[in-house]
Amino acid sequence: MNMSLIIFGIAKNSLSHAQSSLLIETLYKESGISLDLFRYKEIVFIFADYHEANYSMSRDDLLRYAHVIEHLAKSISLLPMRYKSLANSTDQLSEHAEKGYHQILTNLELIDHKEEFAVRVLRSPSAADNEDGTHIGTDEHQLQDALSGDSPSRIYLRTKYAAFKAEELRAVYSENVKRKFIEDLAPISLFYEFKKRLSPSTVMDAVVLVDKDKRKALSDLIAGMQKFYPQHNILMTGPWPPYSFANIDIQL
Amino acid sequence: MIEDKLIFCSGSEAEMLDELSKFSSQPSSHINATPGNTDSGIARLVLTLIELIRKLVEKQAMHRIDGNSLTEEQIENLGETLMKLEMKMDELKKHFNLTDKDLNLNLGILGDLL
Repeated sequence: MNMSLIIFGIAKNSLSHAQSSLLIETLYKESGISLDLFRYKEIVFIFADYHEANYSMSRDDLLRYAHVIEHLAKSISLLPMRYKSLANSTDQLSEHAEKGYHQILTNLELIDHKEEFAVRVLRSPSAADNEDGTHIGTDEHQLQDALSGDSPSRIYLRTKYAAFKAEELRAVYSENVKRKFIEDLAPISLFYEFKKRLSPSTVMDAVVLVDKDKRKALSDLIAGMQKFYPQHNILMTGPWPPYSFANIDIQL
Repeated sequence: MIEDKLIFCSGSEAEMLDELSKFSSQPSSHINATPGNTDSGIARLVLTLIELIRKLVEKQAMHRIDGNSLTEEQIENLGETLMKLEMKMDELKKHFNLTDKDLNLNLGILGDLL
């Protein structure tokens, strides 16, 4: 199939002609990409000619694509699309818009005037092993006894079992940190996602969708969290386009 | 671009840089199979799945140990089986020139597969 359009995102069709012209012109000057708009009822698709934009599968092109989305998201509330969201023609865009219209509108409402931030709570390499205050109980000591012995398989099992218990303790601790974060976040935002599988060095990896006016409140929350967990390092990045909250399942 | 996005960081500069570098070194979300490397592409995919299953089996075994329901003999057999499985896996990785890092897939918001 010969795809000819690359879609960057979907926004509310509320920009005036002058505003959209200015946005397109600015982006052309910055990135050399000539954007076009396709309006459908209350939504607008922002796209470019795929061949003219000259995208490949390289990391540089992915960054170039992300840069355009980044710029657009600074000016308008945008549902960002995934890299290589392609369409044959504006007729196909119209078809997809019709099929997913209500879902798109709902998502646009959700992200309207909001920004995405990432929050990571890290185990500092310098922190003590039992930084979370959890201890191995008597039962586990008994089980370690059951695994006692000098055979290679027993030694192997003991090592694996110790790692397994450590992972369990980390998971319980992570859940507690997440629960506190959700409680503290509630006055600021009810929209968050957590990465489910974490590396051993990460206690919590979250993304939150926050009203643009509440950026400072979120920063204060993170600073407070850092005081509460001095044994961890907390990292907050953003604002990002709302990639984690653009739940559009239409296939472009 | 990432550096511009840093709003809050309490760690040392080294820790921060280490963490930021992870943004750009996530495991690949796809298998890069091309006509020229189908063998290694498929090997990587198959070994990733085997490693996932091996880890699930290992976790299940740990739960059984936790349940304290295994006899001495069963514990001995279990340890030997798991140890041999891991050794066999190491051999296969070596044979196909793959590392633990290669045997992973990034599943987006779900995190890494392994």
